[in-house]
Amino acid sequence: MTCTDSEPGGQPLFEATDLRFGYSTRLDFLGPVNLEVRPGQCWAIVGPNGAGKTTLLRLMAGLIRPRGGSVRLNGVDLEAISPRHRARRIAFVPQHAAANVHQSVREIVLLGRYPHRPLSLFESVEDHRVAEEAMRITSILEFADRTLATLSGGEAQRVHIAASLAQQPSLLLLDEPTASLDLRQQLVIFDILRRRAVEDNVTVVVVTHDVNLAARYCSHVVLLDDGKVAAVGPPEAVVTPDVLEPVYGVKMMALGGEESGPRWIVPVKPVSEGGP
Amino acid sequence: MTTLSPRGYISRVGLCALGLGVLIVISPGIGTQSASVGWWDAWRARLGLTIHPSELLNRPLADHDGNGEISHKEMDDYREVARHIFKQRFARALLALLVGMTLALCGGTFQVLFRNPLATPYTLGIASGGALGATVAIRFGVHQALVGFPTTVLFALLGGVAVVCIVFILARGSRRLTSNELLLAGVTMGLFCSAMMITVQMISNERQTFRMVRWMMGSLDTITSGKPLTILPFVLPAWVILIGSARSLNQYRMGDDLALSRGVNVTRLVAVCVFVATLATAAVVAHCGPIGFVGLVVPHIVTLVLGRDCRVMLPAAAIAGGAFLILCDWASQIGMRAAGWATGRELGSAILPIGAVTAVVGVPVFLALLRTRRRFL
Repeated sequence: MTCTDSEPGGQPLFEATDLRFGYSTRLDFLGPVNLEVRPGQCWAIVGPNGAGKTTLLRLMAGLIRPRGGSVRLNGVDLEAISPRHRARRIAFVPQHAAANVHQSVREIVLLGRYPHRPLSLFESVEDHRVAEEAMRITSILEFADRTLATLSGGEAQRVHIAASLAQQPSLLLLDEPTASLDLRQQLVIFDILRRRAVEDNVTVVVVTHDVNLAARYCSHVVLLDDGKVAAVGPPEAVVTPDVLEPVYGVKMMALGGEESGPRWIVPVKPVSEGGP
Repeated sequence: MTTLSPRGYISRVGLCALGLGVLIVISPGIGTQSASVGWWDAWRARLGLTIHPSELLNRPLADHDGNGEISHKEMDDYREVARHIFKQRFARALLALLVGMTLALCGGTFQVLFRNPLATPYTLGIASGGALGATVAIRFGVHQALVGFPTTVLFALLGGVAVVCIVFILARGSRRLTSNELLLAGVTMGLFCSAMMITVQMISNERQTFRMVRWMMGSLDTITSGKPLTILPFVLPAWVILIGSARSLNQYRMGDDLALSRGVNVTRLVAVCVFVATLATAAVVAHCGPIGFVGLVVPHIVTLVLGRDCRVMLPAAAIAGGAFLILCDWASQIGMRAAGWATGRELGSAILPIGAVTAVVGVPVFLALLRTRRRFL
């Protein structure tokens, strides 16, 4: 299933072709997946627990090798790119990024500059400028000198996003960046990501459980079900009760409509196995 | 806690190095040997500079005569003694430096690698394996040297490396062991070696058992007569590679996935660091026995004072470890002299085992820092 994009976006930034992955206990865990992501797009990967969302994201980040098919960045196979050069293009924010770290926020954001200065022991003026800008974008400048361990969950997540922005990637991958955050922090994070895509042409791919946030902020949504792509396309086509219900096994309801703002999906009740 | 600038780096690491330099320079002046020779005289004697009687820092010979006159022969004797004492004390300080630097550096690295503040250079079982090797060598009385090393040293070296190899063979396989599983494997192997050691002790005679116990205390005596630089080929790679990996280790601390995504080859980093640290620690243990405490607490002391950026922490821990062990060695010599004075016995050249001193000196410092500093471990 390929998402053929109607926008004339030129060459795709990222392509997955017939991508497959498996673990020793389950060889056909994920795939085949076909995706084409163009610069400046904002993608959400949604799906039930264990559907392979994180695995797909890790494959996109080049952290694990596909068992079949290929992952290409600007037309070049990801495995042919050296780790350091890959790190200058792709930034990755893991789901459980370290939170109990007793280093200052500024130090942690500056760690994102690592791929850009392979040899020098110290950060350059340029590194500091980029880190400062990343902290300004994520509104964490005010506690730049506090340690990460003293921050709240939402603040810590913004620090990790700032560090990934300091990497100056063209592809930014995030694994459930809004998990366990309050309502306001969730909106703040998605707002930051959306702005990077629109203003800086950074391509953003987010794994999330919140289909409504995905629909509201992302230009494209991939729905995974048991390692297969169940649906892919713009949110209006994917985030609908008809598409989501069979995948999640939940009766859903759509509220609102075109006139009264975006539609909201509300889960009603689990569909019992085999029942009506 | 600000970020690291070249100036900040020089002021932190440089200051530590300066302190260590002072210790090394005055080292020929401190020790138990009955003749008292000042460090300045000892250096001049070593460098072959002429010492005039009137310039002696303290004038032991003058007192001997009673008239303050020093004959040429007495002066020559004095120079000879000074040269000899320089050789002894300086070699000892140099050994303490090499050992302390290595243990503190490897300890600090292991604490980062295993993400565990309780990790020490001996966590993977190097000390226990080395002790078992040494015990076997002592029990079966292989006195002669093999390929230039005393057999105790050789067996201890092999024992330490063998245990770490076993731990890693256990850890190898389809899935990577988590650091906790690796630690558990190491600790378990250590316990196994201790049990074997007790077995060997049971079938040894009293003299052998005494030597084994002394070996276990750790000591800087072993190669004072020889050259401390024999362990340099084993420890130098560890210094260069571990301190050189500081930036990668900073990334590693943030988590495997994050480090991988930033271009750090995590598997290679861990393998190389553990390999060189193991070799260096095994060499140190083989020569000096398991000297405890330095590898555990010196990195923490440095972290509390200077922060946890590996670029500063690792070199500073190495320097502080070297300085710490030199100070402990002096404390052990002076402590023994004080004990001799208190009991009215001539303990003379006997020296308290360094392993007993490190904790006695280090614990108060560490606990005081833990109370006063706001930073966490």
